[in-house]
Amino acid sequence: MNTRKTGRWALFAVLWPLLAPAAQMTHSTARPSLALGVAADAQGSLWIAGLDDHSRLFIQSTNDDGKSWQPRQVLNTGDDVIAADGESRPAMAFSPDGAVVISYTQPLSKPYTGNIRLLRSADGGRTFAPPVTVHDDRQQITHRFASLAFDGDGDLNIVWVDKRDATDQSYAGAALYGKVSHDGGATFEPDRKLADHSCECCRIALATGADGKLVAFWRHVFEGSIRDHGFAPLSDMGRGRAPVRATADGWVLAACPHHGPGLAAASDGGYHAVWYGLREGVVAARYGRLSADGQPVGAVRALPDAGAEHADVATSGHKVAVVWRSYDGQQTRLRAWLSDDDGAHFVLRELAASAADNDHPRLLRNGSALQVVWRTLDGIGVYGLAP
Amino acid sequence: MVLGSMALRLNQLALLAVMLCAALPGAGQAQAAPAWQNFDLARWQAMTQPAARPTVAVFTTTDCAYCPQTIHSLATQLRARGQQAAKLAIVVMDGAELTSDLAKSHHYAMADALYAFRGAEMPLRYAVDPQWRGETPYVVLIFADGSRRQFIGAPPAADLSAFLKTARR
Repeated sequence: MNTRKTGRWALFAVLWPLLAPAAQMTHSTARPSLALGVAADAQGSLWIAGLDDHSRLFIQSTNDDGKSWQPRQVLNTGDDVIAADGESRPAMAFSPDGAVVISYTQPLSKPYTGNIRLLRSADGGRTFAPPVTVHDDRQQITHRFASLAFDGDGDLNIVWVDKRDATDQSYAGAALYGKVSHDGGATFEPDRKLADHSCECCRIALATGADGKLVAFWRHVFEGSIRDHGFAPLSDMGRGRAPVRATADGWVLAACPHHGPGLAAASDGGYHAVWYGLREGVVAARYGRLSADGQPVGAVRALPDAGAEHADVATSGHKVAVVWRSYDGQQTRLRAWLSDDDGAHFVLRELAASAADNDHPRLLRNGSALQVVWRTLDGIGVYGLAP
Repeated sequence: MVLGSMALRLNQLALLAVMLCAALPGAGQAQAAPAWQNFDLARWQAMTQPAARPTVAVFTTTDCAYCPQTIHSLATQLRARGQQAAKLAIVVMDGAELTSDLAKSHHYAMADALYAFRGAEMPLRYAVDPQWRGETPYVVLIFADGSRRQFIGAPPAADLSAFLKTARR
């Protein structure tokens, strides 16, 4: 036996309790994780999922548009560390029959790595099964930025950013992988690839088309490291098709934008889209229309706020709501651009302002109403959106 | 009294630990990374005051896949100049995510100064550049007179070269 090594380990074992506190720069409570997932149930209650002051995952609901909230329910997530900051937020959805699913990213110890974890309730959110890892791939690599939704057939679809194919430096970006569950998240089909070469650090937008099928819209790495956006129906998962190039800003970038897009179905069968990027020398959040197959249609418009960031879009019939946040040096402003004629005309509204640290605005459709949830250090606000 | 005695023993043990670790074969061979410091608006304002030594500030995040390569490239170019006129400072914007494992990432060891930011992001971004929307790496060349130029990603070679020429004495 190598006594020198044994002696070193013995010394390490004795000294570790003394040294460990200095070495463990674990997740600090100095900056709260404010990112929320939002969803509406069939009864019209608005639900949120986020982290509390102790970094525990909680859910909470309101029946009166945020005037009062039901007590917070802290969920059992075992020893999972949970990411809930900016683009990396919990995601929540209700099935047509009342099942609830919540996904979150569990960051791992190596840089850029994580697992997509899923919680499932079969009783409308009263109780949840322990979390499970969604993907079949169990390498300690990037599995992050999951989005999930139920399609028109009631199937649960979940899509995430995955680096299993980036085995050398020549692979641009990451891939989008996804999987489908036909029983509300109890069991899943195998992992399938939706697209190669997605951006690595941005949320993925999902929307339900006129046919009830889900489509994805994400920041892509096109040839030449151009960060325009890809579009693909989730039915393309596993088919090896190239995504449609849905935006044409031509932003060449060797960096992480940390700024994913938004997408919502239009009443004419196409889509309303919002995204952020550099176009003709101007950095801005922009709005544009896409055809049913994801092709850009008509003029692209910059949002009427040079400071707009993390915009999202939702629709209800002919109503369109675009929301974003914007910092003016003193306060963050929550603003909305609202239309009741399918985006032909918009009016600008300022919904709230706060000097406190804050989350991205989280937009949702609740029945026929459009709502935005905005969490700041001062609290959680719910704002109705009507032109 | 008991607590004081325990603290003394802990101090003695800690000193012993440091001495023993230093004596271990192989210890101290790698270049030590600078100590992590907290970053805030005041630190940024101090960093942008006129100074004898200009600074390349790299704002990064723990999930920025492009940052290690950019930091490595900048550090290599600064060292290739064979002078210590310009300082490389790294600011981790999501400092709350900086676990002990992530803090030991090799690219951080190439910095002259390491900072973890754990405050509200938007006021700091606005102070650095009102146009900055959070992209990383975000590189700011801070000239000796306090003026600065900022870039999303690595600065073009011509801009970095011009900066280093002004830094050379």
